[in-house]
Amino acid sequence: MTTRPDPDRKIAAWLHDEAPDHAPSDVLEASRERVEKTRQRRSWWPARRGTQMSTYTKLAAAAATVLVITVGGTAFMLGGIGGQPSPQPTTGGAPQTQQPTAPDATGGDVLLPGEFTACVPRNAESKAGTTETEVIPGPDGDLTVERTRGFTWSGSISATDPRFSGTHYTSWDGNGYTAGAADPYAQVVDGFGTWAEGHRIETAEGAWAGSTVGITLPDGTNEAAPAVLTGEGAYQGLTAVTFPIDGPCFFDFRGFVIEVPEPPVPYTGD
Amino acid sequence: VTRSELVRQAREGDRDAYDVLLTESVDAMYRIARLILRDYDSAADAVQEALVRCWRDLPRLREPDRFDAWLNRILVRAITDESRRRRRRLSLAVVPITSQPDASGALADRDELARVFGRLSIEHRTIVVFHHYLGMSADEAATTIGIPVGTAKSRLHYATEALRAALDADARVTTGRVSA
Repeated sequence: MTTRPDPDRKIAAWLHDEAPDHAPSDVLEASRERVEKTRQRRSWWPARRGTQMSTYTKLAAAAATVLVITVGGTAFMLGGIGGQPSPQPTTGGAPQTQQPTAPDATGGDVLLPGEFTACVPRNAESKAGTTETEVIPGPDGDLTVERTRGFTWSGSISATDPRFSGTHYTSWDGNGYTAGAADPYAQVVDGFGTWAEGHRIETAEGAWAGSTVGITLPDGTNEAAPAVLTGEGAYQGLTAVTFPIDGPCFFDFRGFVIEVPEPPVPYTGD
Repeated sequence: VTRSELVRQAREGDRDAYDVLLTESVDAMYRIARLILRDYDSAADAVQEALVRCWRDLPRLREPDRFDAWLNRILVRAITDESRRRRRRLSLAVVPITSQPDASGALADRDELARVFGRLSIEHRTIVVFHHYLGMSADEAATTIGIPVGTAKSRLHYATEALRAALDADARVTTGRVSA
């Protein structure tokens, strides 16, 4: 009488026999081709990498473009701004803008009056923040919340408009939410996050400061509001509206300068 | 350069580093996909999709040491998605008639295992491959696949019992033929 092999061993042996030794070569080649055409998604943490523009951002960009065309076009007709971004006749001391000398992140599009693109490399962390994780029990399962606070980075920024070339500071706070128990793998795949970024750009003549907020959806899509930066010093009375774009830098963005102070105050009288 | 370092570089957008990772990973990924999906074209599509998703989302991976487990999870998702797509395609096509099991020799066990395994759901096949082929415990497989441990154990129990029953049934048929 012979002893039957352990059925589990038979199952394992069958699987090993069934498994092919190698992937067909065309799988590797096709994968390479597809990867070559694919851009990486913006990192949720820190949320500073170039992103595929969301519908919301496209709408915001379109609205900003219309606004700039309206404001800039009017100034152009009056001989104020011309084909160059604003030379700041009213702000005094602001340097004359030069057309693209910084990386062209527009994909070759012509820059509008008042428009610029900027490139921020991966700058050094200047202040380490904190990260706390909390698991909140719920009737439908646990919810893991990761709160990240107070991280800041600083370093260089170069832009097609020299008023935005100088030193760039970013602060970042975010909440990440993961359904279910704390799962070390789920967060990077399933994480839903909300975040707020602060930006400050300093030059020899002045500074720009402002912020934006956004969410990261479970499929990895980022929905970010445009950042609104208020001019200081030589840029007093100017507002820049910026939004992230795809580009070669760690953080690429496109922006428009509007000759209005921020925030506009609506008339609330009778 | 260590694998973790390659992952770090690829995470920063280094396509050459990712190409090394891709080349090192594709065979193992294809084996898993091929076993679970049991179809060459579907397995190829799932692996391609997983490798693209991995590259796309790599900046979101915080800990490079978890790359392989993370990649396995992405692969499982791509396999599940591919299975759904294939099911939709098959629902519109004529489903081929499978052959009867060959119970007349050494291939009988394999035929019967293939037949029963092919009837399992994609989720049950996945846990069988991760446990019986990759040698993961139910806990490890649960973490990698991204399901609760209890669910993993339940699926593994059901699927393994079905496969064991297939072997037992085959043994009874073979024994009956020998004794007849």
